[in-house]
Amino acid sequence: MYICLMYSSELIKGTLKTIILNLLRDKGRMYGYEITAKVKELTDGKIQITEGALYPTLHSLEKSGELETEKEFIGKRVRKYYSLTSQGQETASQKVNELTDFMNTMKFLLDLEPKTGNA
Amino acid sequence: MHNLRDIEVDFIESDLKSQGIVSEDLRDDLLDHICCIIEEEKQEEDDFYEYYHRILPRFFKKELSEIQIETNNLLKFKNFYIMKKIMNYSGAATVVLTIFGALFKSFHLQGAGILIILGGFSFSIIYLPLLIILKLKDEESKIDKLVHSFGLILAIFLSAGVLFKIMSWPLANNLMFYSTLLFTFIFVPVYFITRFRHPEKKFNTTVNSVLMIAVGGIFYSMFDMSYSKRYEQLMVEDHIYMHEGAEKLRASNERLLLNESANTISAELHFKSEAINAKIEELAAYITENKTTANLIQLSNGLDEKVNSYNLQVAELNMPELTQIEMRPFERLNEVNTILAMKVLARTQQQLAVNENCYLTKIIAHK
Repeated sequence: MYICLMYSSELIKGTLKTIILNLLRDKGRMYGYEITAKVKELTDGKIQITEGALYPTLHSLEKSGELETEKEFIGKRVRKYYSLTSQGQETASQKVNELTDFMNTMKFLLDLEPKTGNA
Repeated sequence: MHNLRDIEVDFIESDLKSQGIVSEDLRDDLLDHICCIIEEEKQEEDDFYEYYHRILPRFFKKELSEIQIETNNLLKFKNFYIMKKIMNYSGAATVVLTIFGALFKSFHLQGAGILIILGGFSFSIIYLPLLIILKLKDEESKIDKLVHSFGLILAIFLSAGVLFKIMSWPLANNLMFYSTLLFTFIFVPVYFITRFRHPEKKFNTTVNSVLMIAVGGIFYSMFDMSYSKRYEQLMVEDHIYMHEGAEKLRASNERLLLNESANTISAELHFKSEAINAKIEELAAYITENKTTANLIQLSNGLDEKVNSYNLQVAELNMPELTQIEMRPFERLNEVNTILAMKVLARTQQQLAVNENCYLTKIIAHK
């Protein structure tokens, strides 16, 4: 469901929730298009979230109580702003910590960092 | 920047609806998203309708309704992983509880019943229902979903039947018999026919069907099995022993009745006892001649009146040595096999003779 210009979908599969939660933690409240545009901008277009993946995930996070929404009318259409609930704040921290830990483990596993100690 | 007109917004909304975006919430999101793209990215010279149809494929692989389906799936199966975990834990619990339950039962240790009940419940009430729900999600074809669910429901009934049988609870035989019958002769053929045509499933389907037919067939054949020869012989000997004992006692009672102490009550008891005895002999003769217990209910017509009248007199005599005759075994004579039916009859004859003997010896001793 991702379109990734640089990375394979297997590589970032499972990180969509972390990306959304962390973005909302930083920016406060965002609407769907804004999220996709921001991810594209922050990654120089290397990661582009498709709408087909974004909205099901947003709705699922809302149902599980991580996100809440505010509606604003823009002419005839409704814009939904998503923001983190207190539970969502916690989940965002957990997810980011988990991903950071995973990346460090991968760096070590793939020998991408000089190891210290046992010299 | 393109300023969207109301008519264009209405067009997008109705198009989203017609393409399967049925949830209003999701439609609002997509409408705003598409409007944003048009406002931000569309060039002035682009035609609105042509541009709209150009950007829409960004949202799906085959059709737009995929987003609606994916959203529904995520909302519906939010607890998918929790369910899978519970299923795995209940599966492990079933294995442990059943093995320990069986071991405890073999060694006659306390708690075997509880372990087996818990194992059976965990399997039939938690594991199998969760498996149905998860299979419904995993299977893509509707027929496969139906067939799998049918099989698993039968498995729930079958395992509940086995549990009931082990615990000697009622309806065990019916549960086991009908679920095995439907499983072996309806589910397995349907499973085979619906899956055999797919080349990628052919091998697994064949292996599974053979295994299920073998297990189901063995299970089914066990229902109508009679006793082992050795046990049958023992039961026949037991019956003959009881019947002979009853006959000797009856002959002894006849002699006691000639004693001067015998009274009208003893004559009445003897009369009622003999009436039941005669009916029992009639039933025994039918079983011996026809080698079946079918139609015994019709043949035992009138027996209940005789037994009631007899029991009434026993109750009036109010002697602790006398035992009333139970009518219930007679009502179920056609449900048991001939050996067991003969045993029930001989036991009743013996009880009648013992009652009469107890009464007669007591009144003679008191004189």
